[in-house]
Parts: sequence; structure tokens; C-alpha cells
Amino acid sequence: MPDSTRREAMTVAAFGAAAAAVSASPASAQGQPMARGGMQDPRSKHPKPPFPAQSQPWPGLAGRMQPRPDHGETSYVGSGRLRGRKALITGGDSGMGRAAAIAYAREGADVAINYLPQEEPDAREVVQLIRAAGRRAVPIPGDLRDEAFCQHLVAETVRQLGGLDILVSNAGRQQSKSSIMDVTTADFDATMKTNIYAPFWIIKAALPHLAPGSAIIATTSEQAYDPSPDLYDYAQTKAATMNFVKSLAKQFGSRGIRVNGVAPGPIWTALQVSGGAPEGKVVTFGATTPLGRPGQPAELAGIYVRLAEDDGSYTTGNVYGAGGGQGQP
Amino acid sequence: MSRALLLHGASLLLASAAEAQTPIPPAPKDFATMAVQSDTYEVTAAQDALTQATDPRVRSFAQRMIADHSRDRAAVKQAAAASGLKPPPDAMDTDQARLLSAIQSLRGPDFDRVYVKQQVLAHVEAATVAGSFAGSGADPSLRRSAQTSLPMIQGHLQMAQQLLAALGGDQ
Repeated sequence: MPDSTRREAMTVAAFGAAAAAVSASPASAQGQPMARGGMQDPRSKHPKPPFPAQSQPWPGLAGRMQPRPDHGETSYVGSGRLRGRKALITGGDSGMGRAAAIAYAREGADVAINYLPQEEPDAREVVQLIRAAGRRAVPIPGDLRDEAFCQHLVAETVRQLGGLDILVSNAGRQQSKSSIMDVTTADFDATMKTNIYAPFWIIKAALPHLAPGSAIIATTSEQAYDPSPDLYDYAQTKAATMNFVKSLAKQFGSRGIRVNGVAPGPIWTALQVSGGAPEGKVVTFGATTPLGRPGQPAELAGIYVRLAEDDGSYTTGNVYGAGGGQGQP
Repeated sequence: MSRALLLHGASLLLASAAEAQTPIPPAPKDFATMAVQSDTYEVTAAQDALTQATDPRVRSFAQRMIADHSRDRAAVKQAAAASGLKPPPDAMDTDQARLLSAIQSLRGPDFDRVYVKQQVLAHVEAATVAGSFAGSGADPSLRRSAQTSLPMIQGHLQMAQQLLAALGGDQ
């Protein structure tokens, strides 16, 4: 690990470049970079409900949300924890994937992001942020429901980054339906393909490239443990994700590859306002948590870094939560 | 604790015994916390209802809940401060959070019915707490506050019961 002076220098350099690149300011009150080790009240650190009623067509854009989610654009400060690493993040244009992409770049990793073509406006901002941190950014738009595309995604990442050692399987489809009777076979299929088949195809394609020390991180959810009634299809895919984290950790342990999960609670992301939650739930989003507000993607960035970095080398087959005080694990 | 109170309140209601044995009032600090939690739950659930409810009567009921319970919450905090207590934060208890998460996932007429049913139960509970403190609460400033809140809560309870009947929901 670098000495503290070197950390400080990298940190400042990365932030300065990134801050210059970001024009839109997030909802968060914090405009200034904070050195690590400060203290803020978690109840008032980020916006609280009620939020304006809003809805976008699936898959939604973070840039059109009110308030804009905070992915750490102006706040995340790196310190070389992932220097020289090569990461692929699915769903890296917005939400937790974007927060991870920004953090990984500022920690010294080159980052490929996948997203749907409709999400290009969000993705362009992420590419700019990664490059502003002085790292290589590889945008690879495409639909993960297609096995051939998943294979292409991995091959293209490996070709452009010269390898792969962090895989973040994060992209997800969530559509709220009051009743199972309203879930069509096409809906069900789209959710299963995106949330279960795509990680299967991508991990298979990636495995031959993952050297010992590599990390796989999958985004699961509090929904894996305590499903909402309107998320019948989505919630069971998150239970499956939590489960494959554990089976693959056992399978890959002997190869020196770690597999872990992140289980978010209610996080303010485009997925929620584009049919993932009913409009009323959007208005009071996060009010059910003991902290009284939704989490911002930026608040999970450090978890994705922790599970990827070499310092976390004994953590595998585990799930790290960020639930605001509610839910499991 | 709330769940127990809720059940207790419901049984009081079923017996419809106004002269039923008065429950022992909570300590002033606990009363202030419970009153603010109840107001916070009411305001938040009504915000949900304003977006989600389909029946115009339910929407106007929700509007009324926001106005009345915001005012009540401010009054309770003021009374607490007047008695030298720290005003409780705007937070719900875990049972109220569970009620809120149940309605957050509903749409259309299902939303209306479940929201109004919850409103009946929540106001029975609030009336039980305010009623006991209004009668013999240990702090005079908060006791006056409870005495002001009680008729408001009873009025809401009646409105919610009528609304539930009008929606054809079970009582």
C-alpha cells in the first residue's frame, strides 16, 4: 500500500480532475470533497421524503430524477486501493453501478461499463468521470438478455482493458406489479434473463480470464430475504443472486477468486422511478427505514470497493448490506 | 408496544365502552414520542395516498390528515419544549413503518381500502394514547396538548370509519 503522503497526492489529483469534469451537481448538500474520517448525521446527510411524484419509461435516467441521485460525483475520494485493476460493471450508467464505476476509477482501476442503449446520456457522464480520474473508460452498450452479447461484452472488455480482474454483476430489471396475474410471460422472462441468465453467461465467459486475486461482486437486495408483494418476479431473482454468491464462492475458492454480494435497501435510483416502484412509494421512498430516508448510491460505493480490493482478501461467499436499518442480511 | 396498544385499542372499540377502565398513561417523554410518531406516520401515509389513492374522498381525507397532523406534530413538540423535554424527532415506530410499507406496494381500489382500514386502526391507537394522557398525564403542558389532540383524533376516526363503510371494506 502507498504511504500516506502518496495517498494524499493521488487523492487530491483525482478529485481535482473529476470535479472539473462534472457540471451537474447532485442532490446532496455536500459540495466539497471531504477527507475520510469526518462525521455527518446519517439522517440529514441526504434528501428525505416526500419526493416529487415522478415516473419515467423503463429503464429511466438518473439525470432526469428529482432530486438527482448522488453517485459520489463530487464526494468520492480515492486512495489507490484498486490501482492497476481492470473492472467490468454491468448497469454502470446509473445507481449503484455508477457509484462503483466512479469509485473504482478514483481508486485507480480502469473500468468498462455496460448499459442499455437508451441509457446513453447517463453513461456518457460516467465515461467522462472515469476519464477525469485519469483512468481508461470503455462503454459497451447492449442488452444482457442476449447470450451472444454477454460473451461479446466480456471479450470486448478483456480486449480493450488488456484483462479483467473485477466483475460487478449489477444490472437488474425491476417492475412493480400488484398481482401475479399482471405479470406476463414476457415480463417474467425479461426479469429472469436480465437478473439470472445474464450473470450466468457473463461469469462463464469471464472465468477463463480471472486470475487468482480477482473478485466477483453481485448486487442482490433486501428483497432476497423479505420480498415486497409487488416484486414477485424481481425478489426471487435477488434470492437466487444471494444464493449463487455462496455456491460460486465455494466453487471458485480453490482458484483464488472471491465472490460476494451487496444487499441494498431502498436506494434512490432510476430503476425505482421507471416502474420499479408505484408512484406513491416513490413519494415516500425510504420513509420506512429507521434512518427515515432512502440511501444514495454514493453510500454504497465504499462497499463495492471493499469487496473488490486486495485488503478484503478473506471475505468470500458473504453479503454486505446497506439497508438504512431495515431488512436483511 | 404499539402492537399491544393497537390490539388493546381495538378491543376497547369493539366493546365501545367509553367508561371502560382507563389505561395507565405513559410517562410524559414517552407520550410526546408516541404522539410525534403517530403524527409522522399519518403525514407520511397521507403523502402516499395523495399520489396513489383513486377515490376522491380518500384523497381529500389524506389532505386533511396532512394538514391536521402536521399542525398537531408542531403543537406536541412545542408542548414538550415548554416542559423542558427535548422535542422528539420526526420518526415512525417499527409497526408504523410496516403499515406504511404495506400500502406503498398497493395501487387503485386496493390501496384505498387498505389505507382507510389502517387509518381506522391507527386512529384507535392514537385515541387510546391521547385519551389516557389527556385524563391523567403527569405533565400539565403535554396534558393540555393531548386534550386538544383527542377530539381531532376522534373526528378522524369517525371519518375513517365512515369512509371504510362507504368503500365497502370490512370494519
